[in-house]
Amino acid sequence: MSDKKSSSKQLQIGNPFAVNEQGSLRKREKMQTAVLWSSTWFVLLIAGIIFGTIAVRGIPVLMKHGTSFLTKSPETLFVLKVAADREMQLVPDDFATLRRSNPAAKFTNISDREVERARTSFVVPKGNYEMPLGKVRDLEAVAGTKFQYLERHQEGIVTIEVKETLAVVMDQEAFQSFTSQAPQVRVTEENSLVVKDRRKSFTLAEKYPLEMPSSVAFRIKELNPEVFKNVSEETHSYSAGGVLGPLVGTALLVVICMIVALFVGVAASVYLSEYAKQGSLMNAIRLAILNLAGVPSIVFGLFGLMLFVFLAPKVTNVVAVRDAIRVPLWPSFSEPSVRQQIERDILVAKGKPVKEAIRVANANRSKAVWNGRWYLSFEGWGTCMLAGGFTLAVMVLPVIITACEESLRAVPKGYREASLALGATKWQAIRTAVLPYALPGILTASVLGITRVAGETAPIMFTAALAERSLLPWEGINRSGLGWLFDFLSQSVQALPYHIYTVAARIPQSEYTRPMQDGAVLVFMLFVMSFAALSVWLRIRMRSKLKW
Amino acid sequence: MVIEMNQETATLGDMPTESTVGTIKGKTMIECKNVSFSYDMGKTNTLDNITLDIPEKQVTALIGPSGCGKSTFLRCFNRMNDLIDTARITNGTIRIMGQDIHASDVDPIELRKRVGMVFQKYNPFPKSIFENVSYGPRIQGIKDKKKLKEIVEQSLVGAALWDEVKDRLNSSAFGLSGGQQQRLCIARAIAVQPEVILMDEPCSALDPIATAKVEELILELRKNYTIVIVTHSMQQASRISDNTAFFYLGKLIEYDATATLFSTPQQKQTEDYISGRFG
Repeated sequence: MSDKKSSSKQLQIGNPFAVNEQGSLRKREKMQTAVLWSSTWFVLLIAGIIFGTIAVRGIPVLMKHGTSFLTKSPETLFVLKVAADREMQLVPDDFATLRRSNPAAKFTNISDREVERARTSFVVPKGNYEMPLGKVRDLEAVAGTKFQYLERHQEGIVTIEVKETLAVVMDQEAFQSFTSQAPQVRVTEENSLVVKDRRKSFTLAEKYPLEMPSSVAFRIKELNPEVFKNVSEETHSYSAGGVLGPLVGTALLVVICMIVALFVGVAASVYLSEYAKQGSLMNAIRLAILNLAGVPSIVFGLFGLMLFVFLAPKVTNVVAVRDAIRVPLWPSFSEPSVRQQIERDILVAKGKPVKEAIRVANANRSKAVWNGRWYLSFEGWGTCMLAGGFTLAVMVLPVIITACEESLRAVPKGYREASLALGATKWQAIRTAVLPYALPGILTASVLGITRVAGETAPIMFTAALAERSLLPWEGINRSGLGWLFDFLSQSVQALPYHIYTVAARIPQSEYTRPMQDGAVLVFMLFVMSFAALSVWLRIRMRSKLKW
Repeated sequence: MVIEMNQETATLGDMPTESTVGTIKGKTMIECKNVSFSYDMGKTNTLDNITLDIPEKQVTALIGPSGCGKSTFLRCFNRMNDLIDTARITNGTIRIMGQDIHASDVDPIELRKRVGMVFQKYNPFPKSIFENVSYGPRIQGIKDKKKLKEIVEQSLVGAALWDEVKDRLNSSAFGLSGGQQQRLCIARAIAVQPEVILMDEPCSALDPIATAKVEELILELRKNYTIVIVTHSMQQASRISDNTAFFYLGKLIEYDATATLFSTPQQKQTEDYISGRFG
């Protein structure tokens, strides 16, 4: 013991900077480093597990479905147990889908074949025509255009406008029913012709449960009625198709949300930090905004349901019967749009005062009244993209306001003073000498906002999201100009987080539904990551331009 | 600030009852009469009853220890103190070119266009040199590229910076040296064609060589502009100014032609301060 002591003393004399083995400082330092190290690696480990699981489970799904996973809306999966050695035929594209979906099935005797089909070509001169809605759809399908509805009559008959002379080809049977049901259309240059359709014919080497999306299933049954007469079939909803619809819906919601949130958030934070008199009132307001960040997202969903879906003001000529307040704007002779007519049960009460019209409407159990006038009606926007976007914006506002205020405060005071001393007005100084330099910070805040908003399910559950919809948001709108925008924004959309929730928890589970979840989660992760990467890149670029 | 004042009271002795103001030659540009100023709604006066006239097209230096109110006084001339909610002139008037600048029909924006300012820490915007100089004209609505180019060239020539930067007008102002950045700020100030330029310790962040250049520039600018400069350096005040005002604890102690003030100071505090016995 004494030996050791003396030796260490000698060592100190010999080398005053020698490692002091008895000192505990270094050991404690090591402990602290270890804690820091392990915390970091704990986060990385969790992140690795999450991303790894998503990738491992999602990538095979994407590989199996290929590009169709990103080009369709969710569909029902059909599993048809087809017997061996029965010859079937299918359109080549569908056959490709079938082969990709059933890699283990043994297709034999695959051969190309052509099937003759009698068709008729004809010309529709331009003009206005009255015909049933179903025939309009037929004509739209073969002409590849959308028609403007001019008027809507009883029993699903509409008047459409054909702006240019149309030359189209239709199946002979369809053509016959078209001419009989739409006699107003004077078709010219009628010509019969025979078209050869390409088909793939194949048989199965052994009995196999073929998986296919509903669209393929309907066509294969239609083309091979004999084969599928007594085939047992299973259906699994949401287990086929793709996620483009939900993906697009999420993107649109995020875009609307960010437009609203950035505008309101930046404006509010500029007011709070530059204009408002600092004092206890401002601190109370700041506290309130911060507290807003802690409100559960489902509460925001219910709030949005109340405010935007049921109460927000809307300029409309079709007043909902249950609206809260309505302010007449101007008389109008325009008809309610076809979309409104189709979607709602509307009572037309021409010329009657609204009170009377609403009384009659209530008696008729109609949901809306039309009496030829435009109103500012506090009836809410209904469940739609706009309501969802606004709800998400309200939710993300505290994050954006707080971060914006911080980044505004970080801009050196000298820039404001220099600008004001040069004769700038307060707003000019803020716009030219403060906001541009706060922009990188604001962008960081919006990155956080975007990633959070894109993943929220609860706020959009009641305000915007649909479980399923076959059309993409921009399809199937029959108005143009401002009307198109209105209709576009006032429709519900599918959203990816809600889709994942539906697939995971709201439908009967089977071995076919899980892959769809995995694939959707992977697509969602990639989507959010690319959004964030874009913003980060933008921020780096901006930061390199504006340095101080 | 209060603490600072107390410490200095202890070192510099009693305050004189009245300030000494010598005869100042030249036409009056800025006329201050009994100006009192407070940062806290009049509870305590940061500036107390200051009366002095600043002549046209001369350099007037304001000297005094830190916290004596000379910068505050300077910022009264272009109403930069308006930015602080609780700050206000509690007494007296300031007239620039005969107009009371606190009159209700005076627009502080217009005032600031005529009374430019250069700050202690050079603060060019993180933009190109051209955009920095053209900032003032641009916010006043001049959009014509040709005219802006003309103004930028004139201002940079006026600030003796043109030869150094003419080849890199579009590169960042942050690439310039400290002295160049301060001269760029002066160019930016003269681009809006002011009558008066206020300088708040323009050389305190610069090395001696850059300081010499800025001083040279100030002497050059004197031909066309009225300059009021706050400085901590007595040598600088004596080198470049025509008149000097000595402030102490919010009061004007002595104001006279620079030569007179530095050779025969009338007040004891002035003498102590300029001879370096204090401060």
